[in-house]
Amino acid sequence: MRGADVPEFAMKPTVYVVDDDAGIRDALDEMLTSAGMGVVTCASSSDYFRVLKPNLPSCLILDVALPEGSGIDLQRQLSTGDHPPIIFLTGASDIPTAVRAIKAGAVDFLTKPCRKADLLAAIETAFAQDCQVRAERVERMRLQYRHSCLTPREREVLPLVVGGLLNKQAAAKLGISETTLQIHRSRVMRKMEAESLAQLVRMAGKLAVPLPRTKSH
Amino acid sequence: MTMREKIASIAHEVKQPLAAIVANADACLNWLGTDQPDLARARKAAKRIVREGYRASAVLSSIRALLESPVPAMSAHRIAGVEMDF
Repeated sequence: MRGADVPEFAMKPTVYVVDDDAGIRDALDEMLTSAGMGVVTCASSSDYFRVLKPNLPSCLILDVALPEGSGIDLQRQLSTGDHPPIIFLTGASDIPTAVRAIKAGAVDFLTKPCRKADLLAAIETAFAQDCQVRAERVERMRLQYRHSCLTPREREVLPLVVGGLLNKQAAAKLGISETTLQIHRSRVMRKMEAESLAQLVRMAGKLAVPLPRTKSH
Repeated sequence: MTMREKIASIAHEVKQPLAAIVANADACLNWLGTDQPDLARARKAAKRIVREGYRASAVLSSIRALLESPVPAMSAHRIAGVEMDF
């Protein structure tokens, strides 16, 4: 492991390089550093799990052939949680492996030696992808927090309103008056910080709020 | 190991130092290509290019040994002792 504890990299987008070949690690470290990026190199999958990862846009450059399990195995292991976008870099290009890697969400599958422009383009795509995923994660957390501030009744009202029921129908469903429902509804809008019903519907979609069943035609 | 597997293995082993050479050369150019070139780092990258060049050469030498199958040794024998099969 190298670079993880260097504070000057703290604010730069970070590239994690996992490759068992020391020559390749050193070279990629040098090249990416000279291109202005933060670089952390790891000799194995377990090294990668051990290294500290600051909360910054990042991507992962992964060799296919690693000593303990392949890069594809590591990709599978990572797929269960939050992880940076993956770029594969391999000495032996075989099509089935490339197809599997890309289908599992890899940004690119490059062969050694690869052109600098190709690698930098893949890294740029990966950083952009990671920024978007991070922004969505923050947005989801913000919505979950707002949703957690709703009262139990307001949480019942939300799916009925976004499910397209009229106030009258929703009120009947909960056995409350239409006026009371309207009060709950406006509180839901305010607490969720939704400026329109359309916005509230989108928020409910992001929160995966289960909607009431509507009669099929 | 079949010839195809041997060639794939050679290609893989040679591509590692070649990839390192290319990346180090790119780094070297980057360090030199700014308004204030970082000569120390450029030199470091250039030294690595040399090192990786020797490594590629060493890989090829070791692979020559892998490819050269032992040449059949010839020696004199009395034909009378050999069974004929026709």
